[in-house]
Amino acid sequence: MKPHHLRAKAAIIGFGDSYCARGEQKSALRLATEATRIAIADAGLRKDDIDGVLTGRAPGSDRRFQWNNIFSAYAKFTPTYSSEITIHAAGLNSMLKHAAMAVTSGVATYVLCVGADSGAGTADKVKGVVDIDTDPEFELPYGLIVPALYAQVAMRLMHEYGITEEDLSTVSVQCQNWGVHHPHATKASKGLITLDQVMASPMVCAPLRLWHCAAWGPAGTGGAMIVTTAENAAALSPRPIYILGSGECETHEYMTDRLALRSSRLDLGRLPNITTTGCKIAAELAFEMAGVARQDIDIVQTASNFAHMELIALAELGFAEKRDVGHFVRSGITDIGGALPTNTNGGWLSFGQPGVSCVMDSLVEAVRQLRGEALGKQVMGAQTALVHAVGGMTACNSVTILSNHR
Amino acid sequence: MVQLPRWSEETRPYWDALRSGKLVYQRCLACAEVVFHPRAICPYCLSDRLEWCPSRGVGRIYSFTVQYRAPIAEQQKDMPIALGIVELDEGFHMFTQFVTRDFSSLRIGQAVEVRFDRVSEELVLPKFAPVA
Repeated sequence: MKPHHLRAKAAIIGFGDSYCARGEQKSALRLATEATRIAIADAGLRKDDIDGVLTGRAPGSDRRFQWNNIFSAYAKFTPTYSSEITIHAAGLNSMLKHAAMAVTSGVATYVLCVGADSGAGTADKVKGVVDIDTDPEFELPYGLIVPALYAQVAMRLMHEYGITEEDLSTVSVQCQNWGVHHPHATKASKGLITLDQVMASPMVCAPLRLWHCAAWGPAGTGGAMIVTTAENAAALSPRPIYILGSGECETHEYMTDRLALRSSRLDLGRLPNITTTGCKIAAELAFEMAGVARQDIDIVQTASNFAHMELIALAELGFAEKRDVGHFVRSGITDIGGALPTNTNGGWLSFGQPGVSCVMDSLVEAVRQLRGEALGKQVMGAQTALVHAVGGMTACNSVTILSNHR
Repeated sequence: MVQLPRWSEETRPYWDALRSGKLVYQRCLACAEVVFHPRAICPYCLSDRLEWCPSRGVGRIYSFTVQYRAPIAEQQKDMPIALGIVELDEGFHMFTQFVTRDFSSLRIGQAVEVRFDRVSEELVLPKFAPVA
Protein backbone atom coordinates (compact mmCIF):
# COMPACT_ATOMS: atom_id res chain seq x y z
CA MET A 1 0.00 0.00 0.00
CA LYS A 2 1.27 3.45 -0.93
CA PRO A 3 2.19 5.55 2.11
CA HIS A 4 -0.26 8.34 2.77
CA HIS A 5 0.96 11.54 1.16
CA LEU A 6 0.72 13.52 4.41
CA ARG A 7 2.54 10.95 6.58
CA ALA A 8 5.38 12.70 8.44
CA LYS A 9 5.48 15.42 5.77
CA ALA A 10 4.94 18.21 8.28
CA ALA A 11 6.26 18.86 11.75
CA ILE A 12 5.85 21.03 14.82
CA ILE A 13 9.01 23.10 15.16
CA GLY A 14 7.96 25.22 18.10
CA PHE A 15 5.37 25.10 20.83
CA GLY A 16 4.31 27.24 23.74
CA ASP A 17 1.89 26.92 26.63
CA SER A 18 0.52 29.40 29.11
CA TYR A 19 -1.57 29.11 32.23
CA CYS A 20 -3.52 31.04 34.79
CA ALA A 21 -2.07 30.43 38.21
CA ARG A 22 -4.64 29.61 40.88
CA GLY A 23 -6.76 32.71 41.40
CA GLU A 24 -5.19 34.52 38.45
CA GLN A 25 -7.39 35.92 35.67
CA LYS A 26 -6.23 36.23 32.07
CA SER A 27 -8.25 36.58 28.90
CA ALA A 28 -8.18 33.81 26.30
CA LEU A 29 -6.56 36.26 23.89
CA ARG A 30 -3.77 36.98 26.35
CA LEU A 31 -3.19 33.28 27.03
CA ALA A 32 -3.15 32.53 23.28
CA THR A 33 -0.71 35.34 22.63
CA GLU A 34 1.59 34.32 25.50
CA ALA A 35 1.70 30.77 24.13
CA THR A 36 2.34 32.13 20.63
CA ARG A 37 5.23 34.28 21.83
CA ILE A 38 6.86 31.23 23.42
CA ALA A 39 6.21 29.05 20.35
CA ILE A 40 7.78 31.56 17.94
CA ALA A 41 10.87 31.84 20.14
CA ASP A 42 11.03 28.07 20.54
CA ALA A 43 10.93 27.67 16.74
CA GLY A 44 13.68 30.25 16.30
CA LEU A 45 11.43 32.31 14.04
CA ARG A 46 10.45 35.95 13.90
CA LYS A 47 6.85 37.03 14.28
CA ASP A 48 6.69 38.11 10.65
CA ASP A 49 7.65 34.62 9.47
CA ILE A 50 4.13 33.41 10.40
CA ASP A 51 2.00 33.42 7.25
CA GLY A 52 -0.77 31.07 8.39
CA VAL A 53 -3.00 31.20 11.48
CA LEU A 54 -5.45 28.54 12.60
CA THR A 55 -7.55 28.63 15.74
CA GLY A 56 -10.28 26.43 17.10
CA ARG A 57 -13.82 27.46 17.85
CA ALA A 58 -14.34 30.63 19.83
CA PRO A 59 -13.48 29.99 23.49
CA GLY A 60 -16.31 29.67 25.99
CA SER A 61 -14.97 32.80 27.65
CA ASP A 62 -14.91 34.84 24.42
CA ARG A 63 -17.73 33.78 22.12
CA ARG A 64 -17.08 35.87 19.09
CA PHE A 65 -17.40 34.58 15.55
CA GLN A 66 -14.23 34.10 13.41
CA TRP A 67 -11.99 33.83 16.44
CA ASN A 68 -9.00 33.30 14.12
CA ASN A 69 -9.55 36.85 12.94
CA ILE A 70 -10.15 38.16 16.47
CA PHE A 71 -6.86 36.58 17.54
CA SER A 72 -4.85 37.74 14.53
CA ALA A 73 -6.10 41.29 14.99
CA TYR A 74 -5.31 41.23 18.73
CA ALA A 75 -1.72 40.09 18.15
CA LYS A 76 -1.35 41.97 14.85
CA PHE A 77 -0.76 39.08 12.52
CA THR A 78 -1.68 39.50 8.85
CA PRO A 79 -2.00 35.89 7.65
CA THR A 80 -2.56 34.92 4.03
CA TYR A 81 -3.93 31.55 5.15
CA SER A 82 -6.31 31.55 8.11
CA SER A 83 -9.38 29.81 9.49
CA GLU A 84 -11.22 28.56 12.53
CA ILE A 85 -11.09 24.77 12.53
CA THR A 86 -14.36 23.92 14.16
CA ILE A 87 -15.62 20.43 14.59
CA HIS A 88 -16.62 21.75 17.97
CA ALA A 89 -13.54 22.09 20.16
CA ALA A 90 -12.06 18.91 18.63
CA GLY A 91 -11.11 21.14 15.72
CA LEU A 92 -8.15 22.28 17.82
CA ASN A 93 -6.75 18.76 17.49
CA SER A 94 -7.43 18.70 13.76
CA MET A 95 -5.63 22.03 13.27
CA LEU A 96 -2.38 20.10 12.91
CA LYS A 97 -3.79 18.14 9.96
CA HIS A 98 -5.05 21.30 8.29
CA ALA A 99 -1.68 22.96 8.88
CA ALA A 100 0.07 19.93 7.37
CA MET A 101 -2.17 20.18 4.31
CA ALA A 102 -1.41 23.88 4.00
CA VAL A 103 2.37 23.64 4.29
CA THR A 104 2.79 20.54 2.13
CA SER A 105 0.68 22.09 -0.62
CA GLY A 106 2.68 25.30 -0.52
CA VAL A 107 -0.28 27.44 0.50
CA ALA A 108 1.60 28.53 3.61
CA THR A 109 5.07 28.05 5.09
CA TYR A 110 4.74 28.57 8.84
CA VAL A 111 1.28 27.92 10.23
CA LEU A 112 0.54 28.96 13.80
CA CYS A 113 -2.05 26.67 15.44
CA VAL A 114 -3.33 28.29 18.59
CA GLY A 115 -6.08 27.85 21.14
CA ALA A 116 -6.89 29.17 24.59
CA ASP A 117 -9.75 29.53 27.01
CA SER A 118 -10.41 30.80 30.48
CA GLY A 119 -13.96 29.55 30.70
CA ALA A 120 -13.55 27.84 34.06
CA GLY A 121 -13.68 31.23 35.72
CA THR A 122 -16.95 32.34 34.17
CA ALA A 123 -19.88 32.49 36.54
CA ASP A 124 -22.50 30.88 34.30
CA LYS A 125 -20.33 28.06 32.94
CA VAL A 126 -22.79 25.23 33.64
CA LYS A 127 -25.70 27.04 32.04
CA GLY A 128 -23.45 28.38 29.28
CA VAL A 129 -22.29 24.93 28.19
CA VAL A 130 -25.71 23.33 28.41
CA ASP A 131 -27.10 26.11 26.20
CA ILE A 132 -24.47 25.41 23.54
CA ASP A 133 -24.35 21.63 23.60
CA THR A 134 -27.94 20.54 24.03
CA ASP A 135 -30.74 20.57 21.50
CA PRO A 136 -32.44 23.94 22.14
CA GLU A 137 -35.81 22.56 21.09
CA PHE A 138 -35.97 18.90 22.08
CA GLU A 139 -33.59 18.53 25.04
CA LEU A 140 -33.10 21.90 26.72
CA PRO A 141 -36.72 22.40 27.92
CA TYR A 142 -36.36 19.35 30.19
CA GLY A 143 -33.92 21.21 32.44
CA LEU A 144 -30.93 18.95 31.93
CA ILE A 145 -27.24 19.47 32.57
CA VAL A 146 -24.51 18.12 30.26
CA PRO A 147 -23.66 15.14 32.51
CA ALA A 148 -27.26 13.96 32.02
CA LEU A 149 -26.51 13.42 28.33
CA TYR A 150 -23.22 11.62 28.96
CA ALA A 151 -24.99 9.51 31.58
CA GLN A 152 -27.26 8.17 28.81
CA VAL A 153 -24.13 6.80 27.13
CA ALA A 154 -22.79 5.41 30.42
CA MET A 155 -26.04 3.57 31.13
CA ARG A 156 -26.06 2.05 27.65
CA LEU A 157 -22.38 1.12 27.93
CA MET A 158 -23.08 -0.77 31.13
CA HIS A 159 -26.17 -2.37 29.59
CA GLU A 160 -24.58 -3.39 26.27
CA TYR A 161 -21.00 -4.16 27.28
CA GLY A 162 -21.12 -5.02 30.98
CA ILE A 163 -18.99 -2.03 32.01
CA THR A 164 -19.15 -1.52 35.78
CA GLU A 165 -18.96 1.39 38.19
CA GLU A 166 -15.59 -0.01 39.32
CA ASP A 167 -14.34 0.29 35.73
CA LEU A 168 -15.37 3.95 35.55
CA SER A 169 -13.94 4.66 38.97
CA THR A 170 -10.58 3.08 38.10
CA VAL A 171 -10.23 5.63 35.29
CA SER A 172 -10.78 8.46 37.79
CA VAL A 173 -8.22 7.01 40.23
CA GLN A 174 -5.56 6.59 37.54
CA CYS A 175 -6.08 10.08 36.10
CA GLN A 176 -5.60 11.45 39.59
CA ASN A 177 -2.45 9.31 40.01
CA TRP A 178 -0.99 11.17 37.01
CA GLY A 179 -2.58 14.52 37.79
CA VAL A 180 -1.11 14.98 41.27
CA HIS A 181 2.33 15.35 39.65
CA HIS A 182 1.31 18.17 37.30
CA PRO A 183 1.78 21.72 38.65
CA HIS A 184 -1.27 23.03 36.76
CA ALA A 185 -3.65 20.08 37.23
CA THR A 186 -6.73 21.54 38.82
CA LYS A 187 -7.46 18.52 41.03
CA ALA A 188 -3.81 17.93 42.03
CA SER A 189 -4.36 19.65 45.36
CA LYS A 190 -6.90 16.99 46.31
CA GLY A 191 -4.14 14.38 46.48
CA LEU A 192 -4.40 10.70 45.67
CA ILE A 193 -7.83 9.09 45.84
CA THR A 194 -9.13 5.55 46.25
CA LEU A 195 -11.81 3.60 44.40
CA ASP A 196 -13.98 3.80 47.51
CA GLN A 197 -13.67 7.59 47.59
CA VAL A 198 -14.71 7.82 43.95
CA MET A 199 -17.69 5.54 44.51
CA ALA A 200 -18.75 7.44 47.61
CA SER A 201 -18.55 10.86 45.94
CA PRO A 202 -21.85 12.69 45.38
CA MET A 203 -24.06 11.49 42.56
CA VAL A 204 -24.32 14.05 39.75
CA CYS A 205 -26.24 12.13 37.09
CA ALA A 206 -26.51 8.42 37.79
CA PRO A 207 -24.33 6.47 37.24
CA LEU A 208 -21.91 9.41 37.07
CA ARG A 209 -20.56 10.66 40.38
CA LEU A 210 -18.56 13.80 41.00
CA TRP A 211 -15.19 12.07 40.58
CA HIS A 212 -16.36 10.61 37.24
CA CYS A 213 -16.80 14.13 35.84
CA ALA A 214 -14.09 16.42 34.48
CA ALA A 215 -13.24 19.30 36.74
CA TRP A 216 -13.66 22.92 35.72
CA GLY A 217 -10.16 24.38 35.70
CA PRO A 218 -7.41 25.43 35.56
CA ALA A 219 -8.75 28.97 35.37
CA GLY A 220 -7.19 29.37 31.94
CA THR A 221 -4.78 27.69 29.54
CA GLY A 222 -3.35 28.43 26.12
CA GLY A 223 -1.33 26.38 23.67
CA ALA A 224 0.40 27.21 20.40
CA MET A 225 2.23 25.09 17.83
CA ILE A 226 4.08 26.16 14.71
CA VAL A 227 3.89 23.76 11.79
CA THR A 228 6.06 23.68 8.69
CA THR A 229 7.22 21.07 6.20
CA ALA A 230 9.39 18.20 7.38
CA GLU A 231 12.19 19.52 5.13
CA ASN A 232 12.08 22.95 6.74
CA ALA A 233 11.85 21.30 10.13
CA ALA A 234 14.96 19.21 9.58
CA ALA A 235 16.89 22.36 8.67
CA LEU A 236 15.51 24.58 11.44
CA SER A 237 14.76 22.49 14.48
CA PRO A 238 16.96 20.24 16.60
CA ARG A 239 13.93 18.23 17.70
CA PRO A 240 10.90 18.49 15.46
CA ILE A 241 7.71 16.62 16.34
CA TYR A 242 6.37 14.98 13.19
CA ILE A 243 2.70 14.80 12.37
CA LEU A 244 2.45 11.13 11.40
CA GLY A 245 -1.28 10.79 11.06
CA SER A 246 -4.57 12.49 11.72
CA GLY A 247 -8.20 11.55 11.28
CA GLU A 248 -11.56 12.95 12.22
CA CYS A 249 -15.20 11.95 12.12
CA GLU A 250 -18.40 13.82 12.77
CA THR A 251 -21.51 11.74 13.48
CA HIS A 252 -24.15 14.11 14.86
CA GLU A 253 -24.76 17.33 16.69
CA TYR A 254 -27.19 16.68 19.55
CA MET A 255 -27.03 13.46 21.58
CA THR A 256 -30.63 12.31 21.19
CA ASP A 257 -30.62 13.07 17.47
CA ARG A 258 -27.70 10.62 17.11
CA LEU A 259 -30.37 7.91 17.45
CA ALA A 260 -31.99 9.17 14.24
CA LEU A 261 -28.78 8.17 12.41
CA ARG A 262 -30.06 4.82 11.17
CA SER A 263 -27.46 4.12 8.51
CA SER A 264 -24.07 5.45 7.51
CA ARG A 265 -21.42 4.87 4.88
CA LEU A 266 -19.11 4.32 7.89
CA ASP A 267 -19.01 1.34 10.24
CA LEU A 268 -20.40 2.92 13.39
CA GLY A 269 -21.58 -0.34 14.93
CA ARG A 270 -25.15 -1.54 14.80
CA LEU A 271 -27.20 1.61 14.25
CA PRO A 272 -28.85 3.34 15.90
CA ASN A 273 -26.62 3.52 18.97
CA ILE A 274 -24.90 6.02 21.25
CA THR A 275 -22.07 3.73 22.38
CA THR A 276 -19.99 3.72 19.19
CA THR A 277 -18.52 7.14 18.52
CA GLY A 278 -16.61 8.63 15.61
CA CYS A 279 -13.41 7.93 17.57
CA LYS A 280 -13.31 4.51 15.92
CA ILE A 281 -13.29 5.99 12.41
CA ALA A 282 -10.96 8.87 13.29
CA ALA A 283 -8.50 6.36 14.76
CA GLU A 284 -8.60 4.11 11.71
CA LEU A 285 -7.88 7.09 9.46
CA ALA A 286 -5.08 8.36 11.71
CA PHE A 287 -3.37 4.97 12.01
CA GLU A 288 -3.64 4.37 8.27
CA MET A 289 -2.06 7.75 7.55
CA ALA A 290 0.62 7.26 10.20
CA GLY A 291 1.57 3.76 9.12
CA VAL A 292 2.16 2.70 12.72
CA ALA A 293 0.62 -0.10 14.76
CA ARG A 294 -1.17 0.11 18.10
CA GLN A 295 1.90 -1.28 19.87
CA ASP A 296 4.00 1.59 18.48
CA ILE A 297 2.02 4.08 20.60
CA ASP A 298 3.94 5.04 23.75
CA ILE A 299 1.47 7.46 25.31
CA VAL A 300 -2.19 8.32 24.83
CA GLN A 301 -4.24 11.38 25.65
CA THR A 302 -7.97 10.68 25.51
CA ALA A 303 -10.85 13.11 25.55
CA SER A 304 -12.36 12.05 28.86
CA ASN A 305 -14.79 14.66 30.01
CA PHE A 306 -16.37 11.75 31.88
CA ALA A 307 -14.69 8.56 33.07
CA HIS A 308 -16.57 6.19 30.75
CA MET A 309 -15.46 8.21 27.74
CA GLU A 310 -11.86 7.09 28.35
CA LEU A 311 -13.08 3.49 28.22
CA ILE A 312 -14.93 4.06 24.94
CA ALA A 313 -11.90 5.88 23.51
CA LEU A 314 -9.36 3.20 24.48
CA ALA A 315 -11.59 0.56 22.90
CA GLU A 316 -12.28 2.49 19.72
CA LEU A 317 -8.64 3.52 19.36
CA GLY A 318 -8.05 -0.22 19.04
CA PHE A 319 -6.31 -1.00 22.32
CA ALA A 320 -9.00 -3.31 23.72
CA GLU A 321 -12.43 -4.73 22.99
CA LYS A 322 -15.25 -2.69 24.49
CA ARG A 323 -16.38 -5.65 26.58
CA ASP A 324 -12.85 -6.06 27.98
CA VAL A 325 -11.81 -2.43 28.30
CA GLY A 326 -12.75 -2.23 31.99
CA HIS A 327 -10.43 -5.15 32.76
CA PHE A 328 -7.80 -3.60 30.47
CA VAL A 329 -7.75 -0.40 32.52
CA ARG A 330 -8.02 -2.19 35.87
CA SER A 331 -4.89 -4.19 34.96
CA GLY A 332 -2.95 -0.95 35.45
CA ILE A 333 -1.69 -0.79 31.87
CA THR A 334 -2.83 2.85 31.57
CA ASP A 335 -1.48 3.88 34.98
CA ILE A 336 1.96 5.18 35.96
CA GLY A 337 4.43 2.42 35.14
CA GLY A 338 2.01 0.69 32.77
CA ALA A 339 2.71 -0.18 29.14
CA LEU A 340 0.22 2.36 27.77
CA PRO A 341 0.53 5.51 29.86
CA THR A 342 -2.77 7.35 29.39
CA ASN A 343 -3.67 10.94 30.22
CA THR A 344 -0.23 11.61 31.63
CA ASN A 345 -1.12 15.15 32.74
CA GLY A 346 -4.19 13.84 34.56
CA GLY A 347 -6.36 14.26 31.48
CA TRP A 348 -9.57 16.20 31.37
CA LEU A 349 -10.74 14.42 34.54
CA SER A 350 -7.89 15.58 36.80
CA PHE A 351 -5.93 18.21 34.85
CA GLY A 352 -9.31 19.70 34.13
CA GLN A 353 -11.26 21.56 31.50
CA PRO A 354 -10.50 25.27 31.32
CA GLY A 355 -12.93 25.43 28.38
CA VAL A 356 -12.23 24.48 24.77
CA SER A 357 -8.48 24.65 25.38
CA CYS A 358 -8.55 21.28 27.14
CA VAL A 359 -7.89 19.99 23.62
CA MET A 360 -4.75 22.15 23.38
CA ASP A 361 -3.70 20.95 26.83
CA SER A 362 -3.75 17.35 25.54
CA LEU A 363 -1.61 18.31 22.53
CA VAL A 364 0.80 20.31 24.68
CA GLU A 365 1.16 17.34 27.04
CA ALA A 366 1.94 15.02 24.10
CA VAL A 367 4.54 17.38 22.64
CA ARG A 368 6.14 17.93 26.05
CA GLN A 369 6.32 14.17 26.66
CA LEU A 370 7.87 13.56 23.22
CA ARG A 371 10.47 16.27 23.88
CA GLY A 372 11.19 14.94 27.36
CA GLU A 373 9.91 18.16 28.93
CA ALA A 374 6.83 16.97 30.83
CA LEU A 375 5.75 19.34 33.58
CA GLY A 376 4.34 16.39 35.52
CA LYS A 377 5.37 12.75 35.36
CA GLN A 378 7.70 12.16 32.37
CA VAL A 379 7.29 8.88 30.48
CA MET A 380 10.89 7.94 29.78
CA GLY A 381 11.76 7.38 26.14
CA ALA A 382 8.31 8.17 24.77
CA GLN A 383 8.64 8.42 20.98
CA THR A 384 5.12 8.27 19.62
CA ALA A 385 1.97 9.81 21.08
CA LEU A 386 -1.69 9.60 20.21
CA VAL A 387 -3.98 12.50 21.04
CA HIS A 388 -7.75 12.05 20.92
CA ALA A 389 -10.20 14.91 21.15
CA VAL A 390 -13.97 15.09 21.33
CA GLY A 391 -16.12 18.10 20.68
CA GLY A 392 -19.80 18.38 21.42
CA MET A 393 -21.87 15.59 22.91
CA THR A 394 -19.61 12.79 21.57
CA ALA A 395 -20.37 14.45 18.22
CA CYS A 396 -16.97 15.22 16.71
CA ASN A 397 -13.89 13.07 17.18
CA SER A 398 -10.34 13.81 16.13
CA VAL A 399 -7.23 11.64 16.50
CA THR A 400 -3.69 12.84 15.84
CA ILE A 401 -0.51 10.74 16.01
CA LEU A 402 2.74 12.57 16.69
CA SER A 403 6.32 11.32 16.91
CA ASN A 404 9.79 12.64 17.60
CA HIS A 405 11.13 10.53 14.75
CA ARG A 406 10.01 9.97 11.16
CA MET B 1 -38.80 28.46 35.37
CA VAL B 2 -38.76 26.40 32.20
CA GLN B 3 -36.72 27.38 29.20
CA LEU B 4 -39.03 27.57 26.21
CA PRO B 5 -37.91 25.54 23.23
CA ARG B 6 -36.56 27.37 20.21
CA TRP B 7 -39.28 26.29 17.82
CA SER B 8 -39.58 27.19 14.16
CA GLU B 9 -42.10 27.05 11.32
CA GLU B 10 -40.83 23.55 10.53
CA THR B 11 -41.69 22.20 13.98
CA ARG B 12 -44.75 24.29 14.80
CA PRO B 13 -47.23 21.45 14.02
CA TYR B 14 -45.47 19.26 16.60
CA TRP B 15 -45.86 21.84 19.39
CA ASP B 16 -49.39 22.74 18.28
CA ALA B 17 -50.40 19.07 18.47
CA LEU B 18 -48.98 18.77 22.00
CA ARG B 19 -51.14 21.68 23.12
CA SER B 20 -54.17 19.66 22.03
CA GLY B 21 -52.92 16.55 23.79
CA LYS B 22 -51.43 14.71 20.82
CA LEU B 23 -47.90 13.45 20.14
CA VAL B 24 -47.07 13.53 16.43
CA TYR B 25 -44.13 12.57 14.24
CA GLN B 26 -43.43 12.56 10.51
CA ARG B 27 -43.25 9.85 7.90
CA CYS B 28 -41.62 10.22 4.49
CA LEU B 29 -43.98 9.42 1.62
CA ALA B 30 -41.00 8.88 -0.69
CA CYS B 31 -38.83 6.45 1.32
CA ALA B 32 -41.27 5.42 4.10
CA GLU B 33 -38.76 6.28 6.86
CA VAL B 34 -40.01 7.58 10.18
CA VAL B 35 -38.70 11.12 10.64
CA PHE B 36 -38.07 12.68 14.05
CA HIS B 37 -37.13 15.34 15.09
CA PRO B 38 -39.53 17.25 12.81
CA ARG B 39 -38.15 19.02 9.76
CA ALA B 40 -39.09 20.21 6.28
CA ILE B 41 -37.04 17.67 4.33
CA CYS B 42 -36.50 13.94 4.89
CA PRO B 43 -32.88 13.52 6.07
CA TYR B 44 -32.71 10.00 4.64
CA CYS B 45 -33.77 10.55 1.01
CA LEU B 46 -33.96 14.37 0.91
CA SER B 47 -37.55 14.34 -0.27
CA ASP B 48 -39.89 17.07 0.95
CA ARG B 49 -42.93 14.75 0.86
CA LEU B 50 -43.35 14.40 4.61
CA GLU B 51 -46.67 13.72 6.33
CA TRP B 52 -47.60 14.15 9.99
CA CYS B 53 -48.76 11.02 11.84
CA PRO B 54 -50.19 10.51 15.33
CA SER B 55 -48.03 8.50 17.75
CA ARG B 56 -49.66 6.13 20.25
CA GLY B 57 -47.27 7.58 22.81
CA VAL B 58 -46.15 4.15 23.91
CA GLY B 59 -42.59 2.91 24.03
CA ARG B 60 -39.65 1.72 26.11
CA ILE B 61 -36.86 3.37 28.07
CA TYR B 62 -33.79 3.41 25.80
CA SER B 63 -31.53 5.00 28.42
CA PHE B 64 -31.93 7.19 31.49
CA THR B 65 -30.25 8.99 34.34
CA VAL B 66 -31.28 10.43 37.66
CA GLN B 67 -30.09 14.02 37.72
CA TYR B 68 -29.22 15.49 41.12
CA ARG B 69 -28.03 18.94 40.07
CA ALA B 70 -30.07 21.58 38.31
CA PRO B 71 -28.66 23.84 35.59
CA ILE B 72 -29.68 26.90 37.60
CA ALA B 73 -30.02 27.36 41.36
CA GLU B 74 -33.78 28.12 41.21
CA GLN B 75 -34.46 24.60 39.87
CA GLN B 76 -32.44 22.76 42.53
CA LYS B 77 -35.57 22.29 44.66
CA ASP B 78 -37.01 20.08 41.87
CA MET B 79 -34.05 17.67 41.96
CA PRO B 80 -33.56 14.79 41.58
CA ILE B 81 -35.42 14.08 38.36
CA ALA B 82 -35.24 11.13 35.98
CA LEU B 83 -34.26 12.17 32.46
CA GLY B 84 -33.66 9.94 29.50
CA ILE B 85 -34.39 8.78 26.02
CA VAL B 86 -37.58 6.94 25.09
CA GLU B 87 -37.86 4.68 22.04
CA LEU B 88 -41.40 5.01 20.69
CA ASP B 89 -43.14 1.97 19.21
CA GLU B 90 -43.35 3.79 15.86
CA GLY B 91 -39.53 3.68 15.71
CA PHE B 92 -38.25 7.08 16.77
CA HIS B 93 -36.38 8.32 19.86
CA MET B 94 -36.91 11.43 21.93
CA PHE B 95 -35.41 13.00 25.04
CA THR B 96 -37.85 13.21 27.91
CA GLN B 97 -38.48 13.18 31.61
CA PHE B 98 -39.60 9.93 33.21
CA VAL B 99 -42.34 10.79 35.67
CA THR B 100 -41.82 8.65 38.76
CA ARG B 101 -40.58 9.00 42.32
CA ASP B 102 -39.40 5.39 42.34
CA PHE B 103 -36.06 6.04 40.65
CA SER B 104 -34.54 2.74 41.74
CA SER B 105 -37.11 0.81 39.70
CA LEU B 106 -36.19 2.45 36.38
CA ARG B 107 -34.70 0.02 33.86
CA ILE B 108 -33.59 0.12 30.24
CA GLY B 109 -36.32 -1.58 28.20
CA GLN B 110 -39.09 -0.71 30.66
CA ALA B 111 -42.49 0.07 29.10
CA VAL B 112 -43.59 3.71 29.36
CA GLU B 113 -46.42 5.86 28.04
CA VAL B 114 -46.78 9.54 27.35
CA ARG B 115 -48.05 12.12 29.85
CA PHE B 116 -48.72 15.64 28.65
CA ASP B 117 -47.30 18.15 31.08
CA ARG B 118 -48.99 21.54 30.64
CA VAL B 119 -46.08 23.72 31.70
CA SER B 120 -47.66 26.98 30.55
CA GLU B 121 -50.28 28.26 28.13
CA GLU B 122 -47.62 28.14 25.44
CA LEU B 123 -45.85 24.92 26.26
CA VAL B 124 -46.94 21.32 26.69
CA LEU B 125 -44.01 18.96 27.22
CA PRO B 126 -44.36 15.25 26.52
CA LYS B 127 -43.12 13.22 29.47
CA PHE B 128 -43.35 9.49 30.04
CA ALA B 129 -44.50 7.37 32.96
CA PRO B 130 -43.73 3.70 33.59
CA VAL B 131 -46.61 1.38 32.72
CA ALA B 132 -47.60 -0.95 35.53
